[in-house]
Amino acid sequence: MSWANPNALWLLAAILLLVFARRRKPQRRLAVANLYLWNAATTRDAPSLTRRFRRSLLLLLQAAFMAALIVAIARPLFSFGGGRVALIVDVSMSMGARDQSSTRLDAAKARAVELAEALPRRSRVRLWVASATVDDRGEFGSRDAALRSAIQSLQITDAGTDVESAVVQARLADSPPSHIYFVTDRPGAAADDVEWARIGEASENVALTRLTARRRSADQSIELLIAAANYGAQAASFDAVVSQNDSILARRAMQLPPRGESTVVMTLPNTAGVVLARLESRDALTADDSRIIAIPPADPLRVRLINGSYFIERALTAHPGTLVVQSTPNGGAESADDDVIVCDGCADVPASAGSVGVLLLAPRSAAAREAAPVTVNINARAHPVVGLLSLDSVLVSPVQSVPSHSPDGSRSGPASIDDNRVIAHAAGAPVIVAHEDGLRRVVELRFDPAAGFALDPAFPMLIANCLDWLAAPRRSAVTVTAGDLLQLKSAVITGPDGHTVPVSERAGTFIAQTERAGVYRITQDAETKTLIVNPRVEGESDLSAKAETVQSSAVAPPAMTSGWDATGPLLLLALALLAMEWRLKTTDRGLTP
Amino acid sequence: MLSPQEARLLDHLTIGAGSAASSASAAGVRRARTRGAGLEFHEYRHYQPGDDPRSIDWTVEARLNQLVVRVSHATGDLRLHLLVDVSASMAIGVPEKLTCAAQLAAALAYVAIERRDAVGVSTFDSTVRTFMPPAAGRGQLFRSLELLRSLSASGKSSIDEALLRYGAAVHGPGLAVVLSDYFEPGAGLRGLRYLLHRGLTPAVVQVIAADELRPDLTDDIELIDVEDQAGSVLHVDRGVVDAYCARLEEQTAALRAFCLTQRLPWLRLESGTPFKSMLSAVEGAGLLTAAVS
Repeated sequence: MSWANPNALWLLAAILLLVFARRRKPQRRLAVANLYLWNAATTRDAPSLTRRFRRSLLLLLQAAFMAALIVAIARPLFSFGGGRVALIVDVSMSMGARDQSSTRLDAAKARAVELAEALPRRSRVRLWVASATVDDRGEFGSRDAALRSAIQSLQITDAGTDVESAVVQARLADSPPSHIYFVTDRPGAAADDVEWARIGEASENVALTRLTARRRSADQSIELLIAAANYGAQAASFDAVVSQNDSILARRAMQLPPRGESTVVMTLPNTAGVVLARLESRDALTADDSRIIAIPPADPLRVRLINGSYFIERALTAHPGTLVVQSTPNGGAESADDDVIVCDGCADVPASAGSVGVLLLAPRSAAAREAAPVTVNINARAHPVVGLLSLDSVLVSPVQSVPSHSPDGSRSGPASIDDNRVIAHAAGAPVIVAHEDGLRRVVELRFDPAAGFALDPAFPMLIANCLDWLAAPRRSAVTVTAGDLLQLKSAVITGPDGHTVPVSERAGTFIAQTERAGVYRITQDAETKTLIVNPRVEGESDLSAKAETVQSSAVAPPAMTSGWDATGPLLLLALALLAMEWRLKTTDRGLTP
Repeated sequence: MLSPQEARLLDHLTIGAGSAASSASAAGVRRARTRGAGLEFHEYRHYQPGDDPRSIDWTVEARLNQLVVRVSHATGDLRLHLLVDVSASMAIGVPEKLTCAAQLAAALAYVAIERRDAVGVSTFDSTVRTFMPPAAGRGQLFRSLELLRSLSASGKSSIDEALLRYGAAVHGPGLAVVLSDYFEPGAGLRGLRYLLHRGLTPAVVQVIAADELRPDLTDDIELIDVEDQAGSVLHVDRGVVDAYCARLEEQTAALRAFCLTQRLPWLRLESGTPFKSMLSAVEGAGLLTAAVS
């Protein structure tokens, strides 16, 4: 049962005043000469107990009338059937922001419990947890202790969340809900079946947005680039600290204007391994104040070149710290120490590549050589293969499209220029394609470098970027952002806390979720690699938007109230009680308190 | 107590004493409605064996050759005892019941004195408060009226106890008019029976206030005994009025039935009854009758 106007119930205290006033009402007294006759009349009329009861009956009727009227004003709603609702709780990184002493997730849990308890008793609640993915935590009764326990057990992730996808997924559940409650700190699109329970106050926050490292070839020192952003309305000053194994390697003061960004470059001595950069800032959200990077060792990058042309070989050796080992398709033993395999004129990844990154230069035909060069258009400017390259003035001659390998290892159709694997295209054909097959990365160059591009300074830089990107999983670590899905082949992943990360299978591919920032270990084919997961800053670190004061109603939505409004019957009852009271007062056998 | 107009209304009345009231030992102006050895001729009747031969009228025998006897009126004095209840309950009503009772007692005393009967006025509550033995003459009338004028209602009532004491002090024959509201359990019947035992003829005059006959309760009310105001309080309401009226009628019926059984005069008066209506009611009860001139 719920109340549309619960404050009216305070009027019930007026009934006490009625009783009190009646009790204290002075009675008129009359002296009579024949009291014994009156006594006889009352004694014979009714026993003393019945008389006392009847004396109180009018007071009871009056009190009952007032109570019925007051309860009718309070509008009780009796729900019998209840319905099914979806309760989505946002556990993305921004929900870890602190508002005074508690986090937004704490407030979200409390609101979720409040929403559940406001529902009709027989309602069913399906709990969804929204982060990088939307996780179904099961269906519960609105009053089940298990629901409250499930809500209280929610934990914050370091990933972002897609609000709209969460709503869509909740709608597509096996038992579609009649109403969706979304407890989050971000706005959502208005919908008839969705009620947004926004929480969180605007807060100051800075975040470490980028961390990259490059080894100087001259002295093998490490240049560490740290970029930070201030999402608050006030300037921020703090220190950026770089540490390894709890030892501080460098410290630099940073000052950021309101809504500003800043970048510092630190130089570290010859270092390899996992390095932590952290902003010593007291802001609302601490999860985005640190990032991890794995610095590869100073060993030269071993590149196995198969059928390499002159231009390719020259471009490879231009990369500092590269050891090029010549090989033929059928000869030359592969070494387990190969970091990258470059196959010039190969239509496919060599079978012996294993998990080594492969750079394929597509076979060139005479006809392709004759084709007029065309300009290159970059699709994925942010891809590490492109890096800081500018290919605006570069002309290439695309070769025949070569089927690319899909992540499951099978050949798929030619990658269209809209494919996210296409890094650049020219004349409508993909010319640079990069993709990952588990931990193995593959880059395909589908143009003839000898047509002119090979002489461009951008060509060796492109080759160097490809080598770095291809070698990263073997030489340093795979770095992803929290929430990114990893597609693997039968690997065991150990999380930062030392526990095995659950892996789900889809179409023969194992997918692991990386919702927590930290250093993971991937064991695949008896080989262990490092996986670094950094927090997602985009869309999560900006805490300046204040939650709208949209409070969820304590009353279940109309769709849920399949019950009965008792206001009308209560008013009728009050009228009936009033009629009884009037009747009793006006008849000869009237009763008075 | 009595205005000249009221006195004029009383001049042609006499006490309707009934069969047990007169005293044959004293001669008086009053005619007894019985045949007896009096001086005044009443009628002739045929001789019956057993009649006194001295009552045979020989003159009629000589003329009509029939034996007839002379029948004369018997004459004697009436001893009227007026007992007025002066307990606190007689103060109820507008006008007070005591006022009505005193006025009726004054009227009866006036009638009796005018007819040269003896009158005594006594007051009682739980016992006899004042006692004035019956006596004739105007002086007795003045004393009676003076007493009746000074009456005030107070004290608890016990009709039985008072009548027992009075009956122990006096004896009959005589007419004892007891003017009271008779509002006590038993309605004073024990006392009335004792008066009968003592040779007196009680006449019951019940004076009730209009509010006591027809209570008008518009709201809940607390009732207390006027003669015991510190006693228990009774909460009543309109719903009890009918039951009360029934109880009152039961008691009145019992009193009336006793009077009818004993052939005693019985009368119930409302305290606000006009004097003329009161006289009519008293005549109707047989306490007063038209005088025989």
